[in-house]
Amino acid sequence: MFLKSILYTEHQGLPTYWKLNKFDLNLISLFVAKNATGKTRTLNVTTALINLISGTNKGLFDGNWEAEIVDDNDLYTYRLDIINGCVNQEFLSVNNKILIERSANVSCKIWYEKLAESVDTELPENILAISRRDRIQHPNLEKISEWARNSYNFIFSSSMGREQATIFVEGSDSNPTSLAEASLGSVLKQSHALFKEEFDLLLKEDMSIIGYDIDSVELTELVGTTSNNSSAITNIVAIKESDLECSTLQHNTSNGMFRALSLLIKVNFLVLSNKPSTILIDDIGEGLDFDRSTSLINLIINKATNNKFQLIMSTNDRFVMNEVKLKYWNIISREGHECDVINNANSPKLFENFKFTGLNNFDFLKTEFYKNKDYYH
Amino acid sequence: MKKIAIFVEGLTEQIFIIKFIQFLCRKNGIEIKIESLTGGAKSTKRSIEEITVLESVNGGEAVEFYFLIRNSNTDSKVKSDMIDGINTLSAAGFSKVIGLRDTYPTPKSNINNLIKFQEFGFPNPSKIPYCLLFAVSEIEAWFIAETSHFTKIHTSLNSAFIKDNIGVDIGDINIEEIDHPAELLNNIYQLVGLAYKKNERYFQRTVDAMNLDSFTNNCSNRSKFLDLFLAEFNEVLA
Repeated sequence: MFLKSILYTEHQGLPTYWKLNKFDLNLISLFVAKNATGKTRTLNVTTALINLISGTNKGLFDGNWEAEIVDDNDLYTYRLDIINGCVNQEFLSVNNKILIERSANVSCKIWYEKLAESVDTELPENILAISRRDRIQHPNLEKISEWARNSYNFIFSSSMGREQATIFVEGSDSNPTSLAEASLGSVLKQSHALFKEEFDLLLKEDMSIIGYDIDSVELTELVGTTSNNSSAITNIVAIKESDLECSTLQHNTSNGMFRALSLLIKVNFLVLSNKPSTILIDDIGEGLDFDRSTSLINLIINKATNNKFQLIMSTNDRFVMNEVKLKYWNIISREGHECDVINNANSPKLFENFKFTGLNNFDFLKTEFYKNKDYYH
Repeated sequence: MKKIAIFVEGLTEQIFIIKFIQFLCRKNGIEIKIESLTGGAKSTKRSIEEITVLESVNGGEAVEFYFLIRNSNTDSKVKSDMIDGINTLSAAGFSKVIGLRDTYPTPKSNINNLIKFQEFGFPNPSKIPYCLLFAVSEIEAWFIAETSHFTKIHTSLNSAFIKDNIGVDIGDINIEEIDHPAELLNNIYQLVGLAYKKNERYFQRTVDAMNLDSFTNNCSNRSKFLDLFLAEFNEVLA
């Protein structure tokens, strides 16, 4: 399952109006743009939609989304309009069969599979109909929800959880409900429980590919912490590097290494779980040296290709852009309050023509080749 | 002293251009400096890995022409390297920047597009004149055009012998229509048990065998791109 297209609008008619015009996404996409064009914002509104569907967002943010989601041969169309934190409109169809139809002040119709009919339902105005959980009556909603729960936006320029410990309480379920809510420690614990040596081996291989030789990654108790709950244990990640005799605790590892480790732990968890997902990585490779950065990108692209999860990345780094094939590129171009995404799917001739310039990929952006309308033909 | 920078895509072009310059400037004092560029794909920036200086090879009292040959070591970076270097070269007193690359792997049907976008990306206006020249498919097509070199490689390799054995009339074939010139060159050499491989030793042997007087004066009609190349150098050295 993957996000096929997205359109987003907010604050229409106001000075703060912003629109991301509809564009198609591939299984692998790299967003590039000149500064202050809307690259991070594009990933943020995509993430916001995923989090709204998964229920990770506790409140509703205003905005208007139109998205298409593909699951094998099924095409889902989802429209959501939120005004003042309340649902103004919500619509979901699969292959033209309407599953949800809802407008403000009008009862919500939801398709019930076993009844084979749409049933009028009353929902709180700050609750999305798509977030209903019922495998028997709403199997399609469940599929979309599972995809959203397993999807995640990694902000690679952030600490990626380096300063966060995980508190495990004896007897309670520590399994993450969604990847966005899960701490690194809880994902690591669950990965060890479910996949054991297979997970460790894969992580070691991957870290080695990007230039970090490690023997193991374990959870260890953070000594010196206290809790009101005597059965609570605070854990952090300890990494045993091959050329060191002791483990390094997560807060003492380099930023770049920890970001890569954090990304790979969560991605490998998804890969081994064989769960459908869309992985977003903002500022991929930030904080890593060039060789490690490009190795990580190639590794993640290979994983996405081989394991069929969707990968949406962004970068500002010219050397990363030169490494990633143009067929994966999505250039965001802003005119006033509206952004367009230019890619090989909607502008194949432009991308073909650029190959004849004999320039590096980065020059596509630097020279603003995409702004010359003659090159689209 | 006139300073000219020439960017080439690889060792074949480097070896050829040195020999060609030495021939054209055989009556002038010249100095040639060769730089090999690496990186850009696997490191953070392009860097000069190796420098060779051929001092005043033609022995004039004064150096009249100074050539800087920069080997990009890949066809995909010749133009970028020219663009990246053009302002620095201008500041260093160079009066012309020339690029030479093969059109391979661009299909022949798209060579017109290479020409269309030839200028794109260069500074406009540019502080010094520049030009990017192409050899259709591979530069080995130009080596084939200089037919007299075959008998210097091996006395049996005359035009009739080649035509009889592989059916190619090297004196008449449209060299821009040859799909893989290096492969054809190898096939011809193999008729007498020799080979042409992508290796410095083989490049040098072929270039050394070429009659550059004949190449300069008799081969321009074999390819319009070769004609442009010869005309460009005639103008630069005038």
